[in-house]
Amino acid sequence: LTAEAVRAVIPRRSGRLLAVFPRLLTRWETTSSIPEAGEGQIRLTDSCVQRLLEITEGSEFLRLQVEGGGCSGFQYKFSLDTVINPDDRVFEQGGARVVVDSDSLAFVKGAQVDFSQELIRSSFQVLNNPQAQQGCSCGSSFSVKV
Amino acid sequence: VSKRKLQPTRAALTLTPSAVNKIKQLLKDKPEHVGLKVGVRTRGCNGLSYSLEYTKTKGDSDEEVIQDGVRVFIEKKAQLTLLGTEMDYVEDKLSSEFVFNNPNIKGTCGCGESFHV
Repeated sequence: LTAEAVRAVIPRRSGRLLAVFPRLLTRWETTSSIPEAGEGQIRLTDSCVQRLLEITEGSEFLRLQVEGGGCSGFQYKFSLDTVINPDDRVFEQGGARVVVDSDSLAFVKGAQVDFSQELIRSSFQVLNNPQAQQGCSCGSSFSVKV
Repeated sequence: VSKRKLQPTRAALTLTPSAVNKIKQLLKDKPEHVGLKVGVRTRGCNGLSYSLEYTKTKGDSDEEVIQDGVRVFIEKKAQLTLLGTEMDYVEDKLSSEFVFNNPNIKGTCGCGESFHV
């Protein structure tokens, strides 16, 4: 099963990716080693925490999802949310919260969420994703190690 | 409000009001810089990607755009691809960015940052 084969199967711009292909997650999970405690976590950089404290109101938090699409097969999607679902995982640091659903977590566990500020663009980014094999240079799309 | 003059050829680059305001805000704290410089570099999955930086001087081969009191310089290699482009600034809680609405682009990658002509 190559990355190209996966991209050929998974449609672009689909909604919840693994709702359509539930067995994909099972296959990838069984091949990974038993994770250490830290490996399942998502870390927030200081700039991410600071930005979230600035923009969130009340019980709002940052939701990170992985969906099919982008030039490398998968892409990150950020949104502000207030509802935590049963399959969500909450990662809190310094009062800021990032929530990931369990399907998406399989693709980003061990990664860092950052708020990157450049002259041309300021946005949330996923950095140092050990589940990602490669990404396009803007950082929003990635392919998965198989 | 005065109408925009019709021009027989495309302007090198036009700025939306939100882009003008953002550039003014950025330069306000940096009096030694006279404007922003737009470049283009080879990267990204579709070949080309814009870059943006502060600049203190106009380069010899730069093209200069002055609009509503702000200056934008265009590097030589970016001038051809940028011809006729509108530079906008789009902002929301999660992100903010300069956006180039370029009629010359034939294709972009999904996130829009990378393009080919």
